[in-house]
Amino acid sequence: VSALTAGTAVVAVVLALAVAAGVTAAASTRARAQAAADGAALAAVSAAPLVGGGGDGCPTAAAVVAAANGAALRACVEGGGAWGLRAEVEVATRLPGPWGAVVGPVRARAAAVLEPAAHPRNPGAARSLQPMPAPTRDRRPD
Amino acid sequence: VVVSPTGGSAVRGAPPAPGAPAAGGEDGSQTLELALLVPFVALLAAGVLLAGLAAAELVLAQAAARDAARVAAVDDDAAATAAAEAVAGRRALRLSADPPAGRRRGGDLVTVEVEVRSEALRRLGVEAWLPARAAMRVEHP
Repeated sequence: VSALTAGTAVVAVVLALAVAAGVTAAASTRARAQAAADGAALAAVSAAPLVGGGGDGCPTAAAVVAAANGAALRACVEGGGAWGLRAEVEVATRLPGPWGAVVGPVRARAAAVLEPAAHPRNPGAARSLQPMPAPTRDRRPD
Repeated sequence: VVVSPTGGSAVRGAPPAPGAPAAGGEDGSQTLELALLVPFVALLAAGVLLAGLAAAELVLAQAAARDAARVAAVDDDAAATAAAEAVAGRRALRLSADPPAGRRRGGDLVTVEVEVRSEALRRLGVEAWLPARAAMRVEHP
């Protein structure tokens, strides 16, 4: 095998491993960011009736939950036109070992939006936000 | 009989004359290099595919942790484990929640750590547990 072929093969291996590591880190970081955004938005909403008055859930409770998930709260906007809420977080991570220098820091942003109907200050909303409500189907008699 | 452009003739399949240079020597070298590279490239492709599968399972582990934490915020550990198992499917998983169900109070943080066994790596004889964690605010007192 010539030196050119061997060198090309080594470069291909290094590049493929770097790409695979980068894609894996990006996917994992993105999932973590989404989990943090979901938690932050839910925390902001669930904290709202507990602190009274204008509420401190957004951004205080949201920031606490985002930090517990390894993320930083970038925005927490409440009542955009109604009782809705939108939380945005960012997660930054670095790959271990030399890949951190090759790929650089991996950042992911995610947002979660709670619809007005789920907000506790909406008179029609439930007291507690139930996890993953099963989709209901409107069954009408034939 | 094949007539060459130079006017000579040769019999197809006849052995080369003694002392003559081997016909297609460079082509043979390239064929050998290609033959050596094919399994290498196949191995590389398999590795990238495996990394992709592992990445998908890592995302799945994170989703299991998130759903389990979400359930742990309003319910007990058994319900949280069931939620994680629903996401993980056939994969084995370990789950721990801190604080445990009996000691969670409204407004606290509950942190759920999940480890999902990778099926992609298990098929290769490697047992790897993919970790993930998620935290949520407890809603029920």
